[in-house]
Amino acid sequence: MNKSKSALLTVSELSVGYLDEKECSTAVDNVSFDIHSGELFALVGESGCGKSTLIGALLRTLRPPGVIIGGRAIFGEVDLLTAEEERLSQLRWSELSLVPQSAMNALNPVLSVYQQFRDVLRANESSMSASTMGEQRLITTVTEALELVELSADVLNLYPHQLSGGMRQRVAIALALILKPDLIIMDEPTTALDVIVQADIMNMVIRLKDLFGFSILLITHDLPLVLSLADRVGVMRDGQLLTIATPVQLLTQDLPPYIAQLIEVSKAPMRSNDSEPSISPEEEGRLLTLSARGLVKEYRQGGLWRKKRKRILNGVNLDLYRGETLALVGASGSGKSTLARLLTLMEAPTSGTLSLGQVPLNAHRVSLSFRAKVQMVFQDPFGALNPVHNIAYHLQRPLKLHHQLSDLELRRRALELLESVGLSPAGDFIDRHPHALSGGQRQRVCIARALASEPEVLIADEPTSMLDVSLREELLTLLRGLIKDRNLSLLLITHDLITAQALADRVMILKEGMVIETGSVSQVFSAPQHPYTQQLIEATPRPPDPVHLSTSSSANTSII
Amino acid sequence: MNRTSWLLDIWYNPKARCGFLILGGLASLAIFGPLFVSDPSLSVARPHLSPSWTHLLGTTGQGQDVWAQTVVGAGLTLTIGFTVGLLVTVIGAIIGVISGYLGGLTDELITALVNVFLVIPGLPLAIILAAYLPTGPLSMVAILTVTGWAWTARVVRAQTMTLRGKDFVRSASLIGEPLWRIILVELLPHMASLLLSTFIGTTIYAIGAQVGLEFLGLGDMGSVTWGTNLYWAANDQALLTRAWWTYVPTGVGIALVGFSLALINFGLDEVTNPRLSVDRIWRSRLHQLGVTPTSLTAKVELRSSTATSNSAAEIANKRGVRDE
Amino acid sequence: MAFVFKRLALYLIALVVSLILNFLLPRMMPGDPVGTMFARFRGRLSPEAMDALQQSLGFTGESLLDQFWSYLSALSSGDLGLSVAHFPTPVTEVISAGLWWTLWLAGISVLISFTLGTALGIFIAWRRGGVLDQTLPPLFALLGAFPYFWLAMLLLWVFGFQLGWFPLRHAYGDDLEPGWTWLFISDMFRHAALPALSIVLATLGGWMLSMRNTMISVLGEDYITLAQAKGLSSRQVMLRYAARNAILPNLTGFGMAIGFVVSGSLLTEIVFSYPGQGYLLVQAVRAQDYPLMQGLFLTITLSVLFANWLLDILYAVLDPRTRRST
Repeated sequence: MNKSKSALLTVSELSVGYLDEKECSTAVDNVSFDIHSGELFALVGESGCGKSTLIGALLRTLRPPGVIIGGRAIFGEVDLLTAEEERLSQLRWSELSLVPQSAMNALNPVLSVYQQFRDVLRANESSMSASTMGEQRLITTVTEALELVELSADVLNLYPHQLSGGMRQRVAIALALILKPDLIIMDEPTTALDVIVQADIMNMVIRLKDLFGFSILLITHDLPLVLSLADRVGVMRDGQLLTIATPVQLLTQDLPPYIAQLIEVSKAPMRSNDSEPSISPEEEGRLLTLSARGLVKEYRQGGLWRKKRKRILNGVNLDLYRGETLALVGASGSGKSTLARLLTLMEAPTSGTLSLGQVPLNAHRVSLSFRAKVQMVFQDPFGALNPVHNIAYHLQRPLKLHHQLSDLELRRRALELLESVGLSPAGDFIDRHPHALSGGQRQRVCIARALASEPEVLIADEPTSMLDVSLREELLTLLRGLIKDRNLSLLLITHDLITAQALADRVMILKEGMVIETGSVSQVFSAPQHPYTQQLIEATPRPPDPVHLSTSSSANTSII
Repeated sequence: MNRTSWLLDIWYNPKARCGFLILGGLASLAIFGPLFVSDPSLSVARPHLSPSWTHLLGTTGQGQDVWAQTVVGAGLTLTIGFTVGLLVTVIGAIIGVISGYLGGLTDELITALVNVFLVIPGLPLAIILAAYLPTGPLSMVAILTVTGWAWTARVVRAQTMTLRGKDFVRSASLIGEPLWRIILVELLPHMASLLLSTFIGTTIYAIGAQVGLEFLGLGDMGSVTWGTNLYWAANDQALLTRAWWTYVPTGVGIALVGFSLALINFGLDEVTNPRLSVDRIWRSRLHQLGVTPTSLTAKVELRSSTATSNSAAEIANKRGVRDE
Repeated sequence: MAFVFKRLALYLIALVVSLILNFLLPRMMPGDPVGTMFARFRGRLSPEAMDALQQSLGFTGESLLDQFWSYLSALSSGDLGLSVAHFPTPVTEVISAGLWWTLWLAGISVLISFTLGTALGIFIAWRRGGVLDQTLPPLFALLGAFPYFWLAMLLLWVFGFQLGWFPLRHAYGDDLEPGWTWLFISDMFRHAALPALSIVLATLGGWMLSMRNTMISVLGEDYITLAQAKGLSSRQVMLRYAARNAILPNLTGFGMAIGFVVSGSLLTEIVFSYPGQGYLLVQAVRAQDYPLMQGLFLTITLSVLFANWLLDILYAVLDPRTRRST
């Protein structure tokens, strides 16, 4: 019990709203919590739960139409919500700093890394012991900070566009550390990064926290990550803070259904392991549908004058058998989306061959029957449906293109499709426009559209990654049912091992345009061959074993 | 945002509505005005009479009625302006969409051509074209179209490239939609506001350039347009004789057309890009609530009295604010 | 620097296209306007002068390709033919007499207008929703809707004729000898004041509005939020973080609009009888002096292309992303 420790930040009854022409709507509703020194406090919630709005209010960087409508946030002796600008600027960065959501856009693109550090140091000179630092001391200070985040001094004179995503995030963390603040707010610090990089960075953050003793307010949607790292966790939904508990309590106690569901989803693969297809498909003599040999894709860079080639895919072989689910796992930039474009004949490969059944394919002459047989579901359900057309249009177009049907028949079939993806009663949905549907409903419409032409092969590019965690399971269950009923072959493209494990029969690991490992799910996950696969499996955040947790950190068990 | 709603919103935008009203007034003057005025090219009184009841805006250096000249001149000037606006928009849109959607070598060649036409200054090119072409409204339309299409093509190409990468365009081609349908049914509806705004921009350009050319003496000096009115005013030493009424009404007419079109474009900007006006609305709302913000982050004690309890997710969705 | 050279290639192509246009127009136009011109001048010009004129406009019976070759070689030695209006002065000489006045007037007005407009745009975007933000854009939109030369006429009438504060015409007083004297230079400024003011008034709003709009979208970027959280002064956030990024797209827009503004300033010169390219242009149009018109077109195009290239260099200096590609 930590009652003796004084709170570093005490937020009480904080409410934040958005003003529009008629009303003021609440985005953060009466939220109270406190953060002790040296603590990692995590706020977890799905998109739209008000996490980012809350940070805006705490840092006073909230912008119109946002407005703080009540509460206090006492940091030291100062109320962050009402403090004078002058008082606030003394606190800013030297005592309270921020690691922003996407370091991609958080660094000024026209200033070098060193200049961005220099601006901070110069702006906060008065609050530092040394009054005016010479240029040489500045460089030393910045170099030291970069060393902490395992970056060499070479990056000093680079510009943000010359850094990789992981490097930028490290720079952002070094920037947050430079004045040794008491509290660092981290807003989804690793969301845009690959799991391996994410694990590296989070481990580094914990090490630095232990070294310097600062507190962290970690904002994230990633519950498994938080369960293994945080001292205490607050769960937010619809602007309200539902509960505050330690990871152990979250994993072991009876909780409200919403939280219980969140934890359940993140815990383990959902598959019932009764039908383990560990035999290789060739032995069964199953039918080959889509197959690729030696696919290479290069993109030309530069204009008419200077031509450079960048190789995205480097000799990929792929076989998809009738009725099987193959998961293609790779980090961003591994070439998996490019592969999807080649397999759907949206683009032509630089070299290599493709065939469907035994028929060779040519991306320059795509037959309508190929379009009927190979369909795709995209990652972003908000972008995949043209907002100007209603659902009926989206479903009837493929029906009309591939089956000659009367108008009445078209509508009947569209209604059937909607029912089959669980949008029931279909009559309630068919005449709506996409904007009147939620993300999960839209993704179902996308699946229904892909099924309209009665395809043999379905390619799904991260079909659940844009959806809230609580919706993912439902959608994966739906997909599993559909492929079984229709004997579909599914190529599931994902960066997420848990999804792959939950849905696929076989797995292919793609790295830098090459397939480095293929095998059945059980083979790859229990005995990964390639070191990269091993790294990937280790880095994937999974909720820790509560027994193990409670012994390691029994000190932190306070619940509100 | 529902993509079709901006057409309605623009009418409810005060700036745009003001623009529409001014433009509507001028257009009806140009259409019906000539029925009520005397022949503008006839000498009806002594030259350079100042405004009076018989000649509302006085007379020109040739003794013509200025009011009649202004009203009649509006017709041809506006017709040419809007025709060029329309032609340029259609031509630019076709070239831009082809270039942006097809990509590859076609795109590189078209882009090079567009860039060349963008950097060659338009008015000097128009001047030598006008000097060699026979005078008349058709030549004028041709000249202004040739010198004006590149900008529209460039803007439309950029927008097409953005849209081409969108998943809904890809899904349309995945289900087997033919190219023409993708362009007309999937892409074009998303370009409507962009095309409207380039149409307005081009029309402003066309009227300005046309008046400029005629002021230089290029064009049909025998016809009555706003440009020739100014040409003759300058030629007849309007400044020296201090006959301000010979050039002020025409200039005000041109400015009103340009201003009303610019207002419509402002309104269109505000409607399609809510970020541009969000601060103004926020300030006026805070003002109603009795708060004068000192910075852009404000605190108001509202509490539950006025705050409605919409779910936060719904609000964030409505505002386009995404947490992730 | 690859960026700057790539752009240079574009300008060279643009230059070649203008040269070809310039060459083809008098030779291809319907209705034989040049023939009409010859008819008008017959008897007024000496036979040799007629020959020279016909040669430069392509009435020689040679093949097009041969003509193009001689056109290019004449051009490379700076020979643009003889001016009809200023016969027998070569076009090059007529143009160079007015070139500096145009560069001076257009240059100073464009610079003032862009700098002032951008500064105002930064300011009203920073105080967005404020009083200035709500009044300045419509005001300048109204001013910008007037033709440049019309504003010039109005200013001339008010400040020249009615109030008598500024001289009515020319680039400097008739009684002054050009030279680097205080008297001359101050007179130059007095003569440039009204024409420059009319151009500035007409174009300022455009720069202001586009700067405001890019500023507002830049102000929504994460690096601005971070800069504020970092405790930087608002002055630094406004200029070094926001404006520094927002100016980049505006420089591109500036390059594209510069041709249009320069053209507008030519019309303004006419109102003030300012002895630059515009004034020459109107003389050329009235006298149907085709060689002079074409020479002017080339000169103006060349200056605009050069200005664009300078802007590209500035852009490359300001934006590290064009300097080294990843």
